[in-house]
Amino acid sequence: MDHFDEKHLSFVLRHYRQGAFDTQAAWEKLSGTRKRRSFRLLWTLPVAAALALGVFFSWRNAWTEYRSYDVAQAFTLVDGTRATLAPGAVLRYQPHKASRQVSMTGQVLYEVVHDEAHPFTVSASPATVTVLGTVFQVIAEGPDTRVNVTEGRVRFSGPRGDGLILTAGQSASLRDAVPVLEEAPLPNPSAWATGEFRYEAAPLETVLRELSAFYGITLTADAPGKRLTGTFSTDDLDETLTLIESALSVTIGRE
Amino acid sequence: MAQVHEIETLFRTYYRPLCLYALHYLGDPDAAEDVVQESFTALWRQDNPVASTKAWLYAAVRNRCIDLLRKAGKTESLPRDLDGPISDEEAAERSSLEARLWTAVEALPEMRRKCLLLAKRDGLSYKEIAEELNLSEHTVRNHISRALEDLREGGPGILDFIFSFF
Repeated sequence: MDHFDEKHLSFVLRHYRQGAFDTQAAWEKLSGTRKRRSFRLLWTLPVAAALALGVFFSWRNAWTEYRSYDVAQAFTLVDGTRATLAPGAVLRYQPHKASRQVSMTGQVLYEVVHDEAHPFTVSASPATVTVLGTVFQVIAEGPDTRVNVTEGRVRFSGPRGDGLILTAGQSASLRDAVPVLEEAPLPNPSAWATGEFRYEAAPLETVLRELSAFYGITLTADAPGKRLTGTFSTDDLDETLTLIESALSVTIGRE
Repeated sequence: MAQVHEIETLFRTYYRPLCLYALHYLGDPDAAEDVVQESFTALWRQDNPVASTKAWLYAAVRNRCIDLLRKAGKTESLPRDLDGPISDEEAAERSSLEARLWTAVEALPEMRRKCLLLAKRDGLSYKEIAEELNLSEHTVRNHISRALEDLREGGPGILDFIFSFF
């Protein structure tokens, strides 16, 4: 066999996951057979018979895929769970299976229907998020997975360790394959989907940090210690800033 | 339409290499597997005879990968190494060697594999691995050097043996 270099090994090891790229399992999925040996005879039957079997299994195992292109879009899954996909997000799941399991990339807000018997699992490689019924969002972009919880509790697991339980208002992101709690999470991580910023006695610095990140600008105010309560639409930044300025008697600078 | 046993042979020969090839484009094993599955399904449904099935499969996987990247809004659709973009030819060329390495890693004794992955994939120090797995640092170092030895020396022989099964 030809020799390999460090680059080959590094690439393989970086992406390696036990059980992935299982040729046998993948072949069974493609051919629709579970026990290949006992179905040996099948290969001599007309191809139509094999296809009929394949159609049945592929129906049961069929994946449904939702995508969002230019604007955020909401979809309702068969269990009633609502998934709002940010532009560019992709969500896939098997609607005919009893297990509630979706895989995704991009940014998705979930409002999960409560069902103790069937935990809802989001796999956003390399992380996994398991919940019973709650509202939370997952941002899976490359190896950086972030989770923000709005209601309820979720378990956030990486490739290593036992994972982390997150409750309402908490955010965590994956660092070196382990989820780490964020120290000062933004109050409205899902504003892109809900269309509003809600604040309850939030420090003005936090509010400005969130608005700056959301609109991609830099907002500053020289008013330490001020706190803001209120709900603002994401549609009109100027109006939001005017309201905040008059409510707190501050001047907000923008760059 | 191709016969089932023809597809099966192709599948067993090229499934992993194609997955590694797609992985260079997509960086995600699940997405890579899906793309390869879809490409084989397309080959199965193909009515016209295909001159080189291998070339056809690589092209089908490449097109699907590029399509996915475009739909995901990525501006660049080149395959990547850990260090950055590489050419499509390089990704295709590397895929069969990397597929065999993947199999060799799978075949490592469990502790050797664990230590190797914690060090090289997860970036842990020997000390951290020792704590995590309740071993001495010396043992961790041993496991990793044995694993690399297995891959470098024993690997090729074992690999040829494994592949001769297909």
